[in-house]
Amino acid sequence: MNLSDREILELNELCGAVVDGALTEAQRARLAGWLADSEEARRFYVRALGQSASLHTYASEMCAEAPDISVPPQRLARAMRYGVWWGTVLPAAAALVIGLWFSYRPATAQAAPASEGVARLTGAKNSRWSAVALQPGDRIEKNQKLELAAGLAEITFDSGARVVLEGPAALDVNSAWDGTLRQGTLKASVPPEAIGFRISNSAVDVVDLGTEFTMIADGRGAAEVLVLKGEVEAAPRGSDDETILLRENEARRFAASGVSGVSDQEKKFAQFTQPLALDRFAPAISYVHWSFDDASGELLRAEAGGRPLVSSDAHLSSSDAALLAASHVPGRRARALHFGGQLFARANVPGLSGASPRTVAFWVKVPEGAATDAWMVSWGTAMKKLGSRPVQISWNRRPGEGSFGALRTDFGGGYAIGSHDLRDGRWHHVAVYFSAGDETVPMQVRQYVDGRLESSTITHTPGKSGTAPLTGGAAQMDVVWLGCRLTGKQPERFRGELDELFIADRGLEPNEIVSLMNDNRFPASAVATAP
Amino acid sequence: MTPRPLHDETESRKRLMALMTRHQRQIFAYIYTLVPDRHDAEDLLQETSLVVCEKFHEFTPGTDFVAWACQIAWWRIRYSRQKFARSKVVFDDEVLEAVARTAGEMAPELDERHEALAGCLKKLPARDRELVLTRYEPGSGVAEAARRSGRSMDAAYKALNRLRKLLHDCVTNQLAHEPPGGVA
Repeated sequence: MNLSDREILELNELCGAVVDGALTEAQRARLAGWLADSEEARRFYVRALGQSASLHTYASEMCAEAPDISVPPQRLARAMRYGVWWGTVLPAAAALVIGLWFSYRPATAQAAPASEGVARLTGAKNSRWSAVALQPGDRIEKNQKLELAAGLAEITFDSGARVVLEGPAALDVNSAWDGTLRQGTLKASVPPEAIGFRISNSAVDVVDLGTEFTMIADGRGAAEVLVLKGEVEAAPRGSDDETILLRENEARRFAASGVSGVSDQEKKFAQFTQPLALDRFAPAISYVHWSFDDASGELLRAEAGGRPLVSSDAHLSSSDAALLAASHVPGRRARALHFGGQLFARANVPGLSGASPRTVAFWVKVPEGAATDAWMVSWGTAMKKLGSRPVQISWNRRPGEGSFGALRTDFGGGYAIGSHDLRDGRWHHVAVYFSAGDETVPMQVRQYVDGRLESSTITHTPGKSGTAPLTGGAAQMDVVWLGCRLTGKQPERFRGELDELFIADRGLEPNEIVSLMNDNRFPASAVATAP
Repeated sequence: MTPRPLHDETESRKRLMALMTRHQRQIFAYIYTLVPDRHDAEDLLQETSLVVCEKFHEFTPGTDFVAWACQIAWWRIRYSRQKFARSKVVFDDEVLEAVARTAGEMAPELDERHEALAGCLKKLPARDRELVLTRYEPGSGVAEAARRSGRSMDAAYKALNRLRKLLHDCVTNQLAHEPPGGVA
């Protein structure tokens, strides 16, 4: 029996009612009859219900992703109750720790959102601010309201999206993925890593699909959107008009009265496609780089600025010829370092244990379905704020705390966890910015995977003392450890491969991280020296 | 009986964890088709996972893990029938068994459809995608999706049914045009 189109529509409606818990008794009887008699109906039902199961999964994953951090706290709490369990505790069941999950709930607290930096002023030209004056290089906090009286100001969001404001203009920085233009003109440039970045105002929501666009908000409820490159989705607010896909060289005006064309469109396109001359702020970068291209032996050479940096050469932990031979393998670029759960390596990096911000970037390949040995890069600290405990980058093995297998950074008093499972046997580019802050600047961790911001929210674990460091005191200071855990009663290692490790002495801008990922070097403007 | 060496236990646990990590979503989808309530299905998945852990030594490596785990899930569902008796969605045993049989056979197809669904979701206009994902967010539902999208409940139900059908057709179409073994 083949189902007619009409029957399929009815079946779809019945399946929807099942999923939404809205099935009437009459509908239940009708559906039950269908499912008993028709194989085709059963197959449709299984596909429809399977699709809803998948949508639960995708929606839960979206909840865990960075762009959704605008959701209210109570929804986040629910996401933790359901979403995290969903994607993460389930593997724990397989690890025979279900009982532990229910009995072990560490005291945790999300970092106060109000003190979370989400963007930076990266350029300016003749800028004059109405309220709080910003200087190039200043961090911009979540929910900060910017009021530019005159001139140009470039804001780089941590997601990688760049916005140039033309004064007079007022912009609310809602998150690393979201801004509200209350008045004035902005030009947004969104690289592929920041697709999904959103600019809104009272007339329209614009979701960028990897492009350049301009928005002009008149401050009286209307806004014009001009797409300079690529395409955007523009959803009118306050009217019943459908979402519009705007392509290159297309423009629309959005107002309460509806959507219309833009006056002087050609003139405006000509104006906004002109390059903007900005004074950009590009602080120097000091870094150390290990390529792991060494073909053999226990020595892993370091370099900085194209020159050997012998004092930071890394050493593998064994001189066993067979182990060493197995540790040098083809990598993401040339050769990589293979860790089989036994070897680890260490290198001196002057100043690493101090309070200055750091960015650690590298390529990593974790075997598909890996279950143990998660510890990639660690270093000791001497900071009271961190209880003198190390900072450790791994993949998450605690499903009760976040997505299982996702990038995780632990430090004394808390952790940050990303969203995507790294354990797929493929190379991923990882960059972790870590700053312990001080009395005035809060602690910050930003994690990027494959150039895309994954998480910037810290979970604090107040009062959790943890276990004593495995190797103590001075031995850990100013040393980076590769492939081993520095805490815990049992030594734990890493299984997988690492390649092209960089340690930089400041927070890298999103474009600098992408440059490392794509070109294995910093942008030409960066000054490259040893720390 | 000779106790198995500790090394074997560890290896076995690793294998189990890898299998559960990889296939938990498929097992959940199977359970959800039979018990279409997220929380009940999650509880059942948890119970199933425990039994899978306990009985893993009975699993024959190289055979179909998903089919084996779904069989355990099926018995858990039958065992828990009383729990769901008050639910609005109660099919009799005969219907439930028929659906379970079909769902078991279609597990690989559902997996392909899951992968294709991601691409189809991206193709939806942002506003529609937001409605769908809000509906399925943890702790959310149709009422929340209606509230946030400014729709009446009735309009939200209709819109969701339309979008689910649209996604269903998109996935079917995408799989029909994909070369065998191809990646979306």
